[in-house]
Amino acid sequence: MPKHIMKLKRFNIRDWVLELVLVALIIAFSLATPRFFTGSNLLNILRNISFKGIIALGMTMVIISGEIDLSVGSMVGFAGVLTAFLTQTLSGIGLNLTVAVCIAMVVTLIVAFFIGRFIAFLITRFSIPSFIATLAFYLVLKGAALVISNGYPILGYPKWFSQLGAGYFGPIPITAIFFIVALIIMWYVMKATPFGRSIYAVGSNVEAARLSGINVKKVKGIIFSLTSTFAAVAGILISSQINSGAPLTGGGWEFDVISAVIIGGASLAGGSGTIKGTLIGAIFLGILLNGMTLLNVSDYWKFIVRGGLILIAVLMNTLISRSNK
Amino acid sequence: MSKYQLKVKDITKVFDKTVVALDNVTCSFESGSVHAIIGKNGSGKSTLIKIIAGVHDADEGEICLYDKKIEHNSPIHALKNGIATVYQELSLVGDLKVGENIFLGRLPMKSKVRINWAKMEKDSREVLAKLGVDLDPNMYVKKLSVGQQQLVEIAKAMSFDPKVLILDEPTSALSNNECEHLFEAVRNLKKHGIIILFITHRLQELFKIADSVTVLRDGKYIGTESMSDMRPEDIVNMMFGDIEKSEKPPSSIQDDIVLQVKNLKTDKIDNVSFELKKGEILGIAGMMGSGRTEVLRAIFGLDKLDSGEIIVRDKVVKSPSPEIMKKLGLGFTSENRKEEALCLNLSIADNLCLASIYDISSGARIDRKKEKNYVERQIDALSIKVNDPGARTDSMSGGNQQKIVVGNWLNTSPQILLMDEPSRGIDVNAKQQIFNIIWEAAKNGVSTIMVSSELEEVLGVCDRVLVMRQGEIHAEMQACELSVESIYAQCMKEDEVKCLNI
Repeated sequence: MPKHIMKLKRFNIRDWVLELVLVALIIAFSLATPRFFTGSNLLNILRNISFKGIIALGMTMVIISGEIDLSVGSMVGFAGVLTAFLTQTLSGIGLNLTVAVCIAMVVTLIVAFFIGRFIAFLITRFSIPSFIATLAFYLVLKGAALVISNGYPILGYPKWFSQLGAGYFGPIPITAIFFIVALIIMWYVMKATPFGRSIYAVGSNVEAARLSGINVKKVKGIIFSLTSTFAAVAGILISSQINSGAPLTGGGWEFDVISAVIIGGASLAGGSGTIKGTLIGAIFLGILLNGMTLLNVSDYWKFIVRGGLILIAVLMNTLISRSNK
Repeated sequence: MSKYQLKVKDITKVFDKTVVALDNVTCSFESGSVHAIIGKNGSGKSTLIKIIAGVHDADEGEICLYDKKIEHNSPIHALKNGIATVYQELSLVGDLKVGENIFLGRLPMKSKVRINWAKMEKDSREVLAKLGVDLDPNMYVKKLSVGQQQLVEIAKAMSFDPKVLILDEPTSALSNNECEHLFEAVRNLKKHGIIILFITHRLQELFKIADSVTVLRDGKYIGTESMSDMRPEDIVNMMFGDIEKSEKPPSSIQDDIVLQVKNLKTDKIDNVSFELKKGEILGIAGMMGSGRTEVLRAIFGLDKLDSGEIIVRDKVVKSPSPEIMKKLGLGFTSENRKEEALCLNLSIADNLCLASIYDISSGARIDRKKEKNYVERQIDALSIKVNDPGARTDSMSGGNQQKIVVGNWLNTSPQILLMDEPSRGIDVNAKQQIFNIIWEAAKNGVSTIMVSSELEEVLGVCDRVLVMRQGEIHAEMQACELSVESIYAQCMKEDEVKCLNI
């Protein structure tokens, strides 16, 4: 037998199709309006996709593992409210405002981490479908944010705090730095670590993964904790941008986030998807929204275009995987 | 009533381009009799039935009824041609009545929207009477026993007024008593002069119900005999032929005991105790549901242990789990490679390193070089036919997939391999290769426990054999003292209906 050629790279034509369409979209918008392809607009797009993009990184793991997380949108609002509330309370008992907001952020992230852990526990221990478990938390967290805030935005952050969500480092939005760092870490995790490989295995065939000695409960526990934590990071950033903890921020984000992952080529059946795909999916959605805004397309029509786009992406997904067989 | 025949002429069927399921099979069945079709696993009996029933297309050959060639490529076509099939798995709707189930999808109508309930009831009673079964058409099916449901299935098939009725292992889920009822119904149907094909793996049933027996072996037609001339031994001989003893190398058993199992009890097995020595190949034989798979599952921590002890090289394992057992040097290859062993949409390389994922990683990083080594060494050692290890696993043939399953575990350098049906659904060559791998591993001190429903395999590959029955170990024997007939006799001796799943 001739020595076989090792090619461990997954070549997937789908990725390239998406990139080509993306380039076409950029060219089209650039031709349509001169305001599109400018440095400031591109950075604006980058900042806008960063919030949901951070969550989409976690959602990519969730979807590859064959699960879904509908609670992330509510987590955004909840995390913002909790951070603002804790800041207010802690400074109320005489703590320095900066110390207070730092403690508040850390506590919020820890709470989010354990909420994700608990969701995973419900899913793995009691076999509750993740759709149901996270739907419940979608409501619980939304309610909790409203209860804590009594329905009104909570104010009282220190001045510098808005820099996190709205500020710039040189020309680069600080939010984007958070996103890019998380992106690089997650890309590495999914590509080059045994944990990342386990996620693919669990999503592709959970029994095979279990029988191969992969601790499925642990893997899912980490996935959901990280995703909740990412959502909380996004929640703190957006809360910083609007300079308050508003209970209803993040409403509906879960579907934008899921859309980005799906457009990026992941399958809800689990076992497939990439961080790179999700990045392109997020950029795609961001550019589309931005371009349409610049062209004065009405908000009503934007919904229809986005819906159509998701359908087209999933159709492409199935058609290509069918022809691959 | 004039006699007619169902003729099968020169039927050949090849799966995956390599696995010959049926090789030029010719036989015929006469009306007014019950014809048993029998053969061990992989003999092609299921394939033959499926071709007659229109589930599969034959690659070559034809099927004739009344000397007329019939062509069908779907079960519905087959039904129109007068061939009805009752499968092992029931297809009834529990929340509908017996009569509704019998005429499901073709209820007698009074008008476009009104059902003629009276006619449905009358017709149902008629069909049930044909079987000699006393069932109320107005009963809900979910309230019936499995045996009664099986009879409703047969009634449903009979309501099409078929010329040929195929019963595919109809008794596999039934108790003795229920079997008798079913046989009674079949005898009644015989009087109506149709052709009844009866597939079973329980030899004893043949003597109760069949008029003739047709034996297939390795996809070839061996013969058709009248049951009145046959003894059980004759049938076993036809099924197995002259068993070729594959040249098993001398055993390489060493003295150290690597695995001890004491009084293992789960909800499927009870009181299972045995020892396994280094380099030993231990076979577990038994019929389907005897608990043979469950022993492996219990040891590997897949089923909940009620009581008992598992000792791996002097270390008592308190609560086994796949993770812990893997660390202790055990490996488990499942009998369901698609459902339990492979991530089909991932690459061949991924699947070869699934269990060894942490071995090929240094820290939190997969070492690409090491991964490449691991992948290549199994591809070479198992001669897996692969051009690109990055290709999806479901692009591989069954035999190669099985090798990937084995390779995945060999990559963990296991000390004890638990293999459940390692040769299922793969061709003769691939089987031999898998056995060579087991022997080769034994030489290197790896112990293997192998479950197989193929008796010759257990005898040909293993050093020692445990025979299981109803969740307990029934006998323990050295393989060299055994013959297929003697294991078979072991099962025939006491139990009436239960027999090895041959």
